[in-house]
Amino acid sequence: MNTNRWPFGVYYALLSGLLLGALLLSVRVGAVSLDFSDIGRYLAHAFRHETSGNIREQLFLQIRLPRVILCTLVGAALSVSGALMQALFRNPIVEPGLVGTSSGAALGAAFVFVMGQTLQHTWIGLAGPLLLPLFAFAGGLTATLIVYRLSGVFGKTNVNTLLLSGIAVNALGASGTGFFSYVARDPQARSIVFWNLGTVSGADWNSVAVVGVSTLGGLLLSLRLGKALNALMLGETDAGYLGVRTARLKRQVILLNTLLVAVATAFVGVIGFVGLIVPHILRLLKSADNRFLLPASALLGGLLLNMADVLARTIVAPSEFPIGIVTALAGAPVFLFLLVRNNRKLQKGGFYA
Amino acid sequence: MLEVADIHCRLGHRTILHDISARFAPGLFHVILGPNGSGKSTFLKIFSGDLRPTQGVVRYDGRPLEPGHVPALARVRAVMSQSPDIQFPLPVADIVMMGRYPHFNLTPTARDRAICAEAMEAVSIAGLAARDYQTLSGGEKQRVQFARALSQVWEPAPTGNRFLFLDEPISSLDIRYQHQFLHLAREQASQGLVVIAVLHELNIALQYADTLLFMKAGRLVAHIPTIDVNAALLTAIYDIPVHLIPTPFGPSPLAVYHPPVI
Repeated sequence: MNTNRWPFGVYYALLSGLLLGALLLSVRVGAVSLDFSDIGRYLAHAFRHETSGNIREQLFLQIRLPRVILCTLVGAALSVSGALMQALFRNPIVEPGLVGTSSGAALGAAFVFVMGQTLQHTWIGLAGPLLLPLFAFAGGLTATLIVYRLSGVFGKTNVNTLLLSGIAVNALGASGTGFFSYVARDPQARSIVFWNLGTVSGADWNSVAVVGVSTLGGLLLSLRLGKALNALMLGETDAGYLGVRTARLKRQVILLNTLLVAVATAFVGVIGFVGLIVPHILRLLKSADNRFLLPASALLGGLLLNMADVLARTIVAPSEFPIGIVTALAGAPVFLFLLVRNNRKLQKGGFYA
Repeated sequence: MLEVADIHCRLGHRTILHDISARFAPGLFHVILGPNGSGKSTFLKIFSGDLRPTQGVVRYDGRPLEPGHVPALARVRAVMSQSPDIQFPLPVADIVMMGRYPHFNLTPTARDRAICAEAMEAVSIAGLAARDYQTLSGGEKQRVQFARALSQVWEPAPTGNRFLFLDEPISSLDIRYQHQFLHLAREQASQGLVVIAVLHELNIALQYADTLLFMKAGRLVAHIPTIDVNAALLTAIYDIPVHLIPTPFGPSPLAVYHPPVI
């Protein structure tokens, strides 16, 4: 059976089904296991705006459910952003954690966490609850632009410069974030572990709402770029010959990527490698066509990050560890594999590479 | 009709093109020749709309080219650049379909698919349709890119002319495909397109081109019908003694080189 002949729709249906399954599994397991009958009853209560004092119900509605939804949204945001960035840099080894977007966003968010009290009294404080996503956005955008400029946008992306400038910008972001978490007086100050490895344990309905708006908005806007991003695979000049306004496209992609990643990072920290693996799996499964990759990445990203979170919650239950450990464990080998293959191809290409 | 008038191009302190004016009539196969570094590819980028000239104007059917025309221009003008490499696995059919991107919105129509199939047939790559582009040889890639360019301007435009520009399209092809390729290019011209190619192979150009445009050191030296080419001109262009000798196969002469004493 040649699965590659199936139309895109079959994959969307399959991925949606699997995502639904993952969601059901994910709301059940954890430090406290819940039955589906209980979950149904809790949901019915919530819809009728009845509240009971039941601790398990509170746990489900205030902790478990927002966490699972946030996890799905973040997985989708990071994966769509990975697909966008790989198309922009025209390189399959790029992802938001590598090109600085995540660490830049983390720095911006850490700044707000520590300085937020002070900022409240200035004009910047007027932004109120949007302060956190705004600063994360500014940090992520700055870091991405630096790496993008340095890695050579003319013709080919230089992979070496890309990785090296990514390392430098990430180190810069991490040191800034480390500084802020060190000087934080807030007793529940976010720890360095939170920023570097990410966790969705802090999920609440507020974060779900903010990340939901940015992720769904970003996804809908990026879906319109699929064809232009395909043409960009031929290089900027040839994309232009095919009618793509490349300068505008590049601006749109960088802004969308920053929106998706920065807002998610502000609430869950830096979760690496999701944006790398998900588009890669989809290319192997079906196609590198961006019109397919973008929506499918959202589905598979939500699915995989939920599975990673289930592992993070259950392996050392009733305790849990940062979700970033799981994603790095799965993602780093994929990254190394891609890097080796990429280098081999460059060598084989010889003169034309 | 494609016209360029008073084109100058400066990159940094270097002037790449000096005062180039030319007209390219539809229905003819125009070939741009010149030694390395003469500005051929820059000139092609300028009249294709990729690079803006420092001075001067490019007119398609009398309309000056503006940056805002990019999407509309793509429906009547195709450019085959020197084979781009792509970093993602994509089947050949998908690459050829990119030529139809300016013509459909979200999903290709049956007509778009039929055009791509015909274009692939025309350059003998129908058998490669499902192959991953990255695994092809340099010559195969060039034929795929040619099919893509052909499919982009396959159908007559509602108004005005169609334009097909080729930048060193046969550099990786073996002899048989070089001839197939140029035969096709000339066939496109005879269908009324403005076809312009930058070539290195002088003898192939002599055999297929209707007009030859010679460039040297960023200047246009001559733009003449192919039959008017003479050995003195070629010698001056290439800085090597050239002789034209008749062949038994047709009217086009063969250029042979007598190397100077170095």
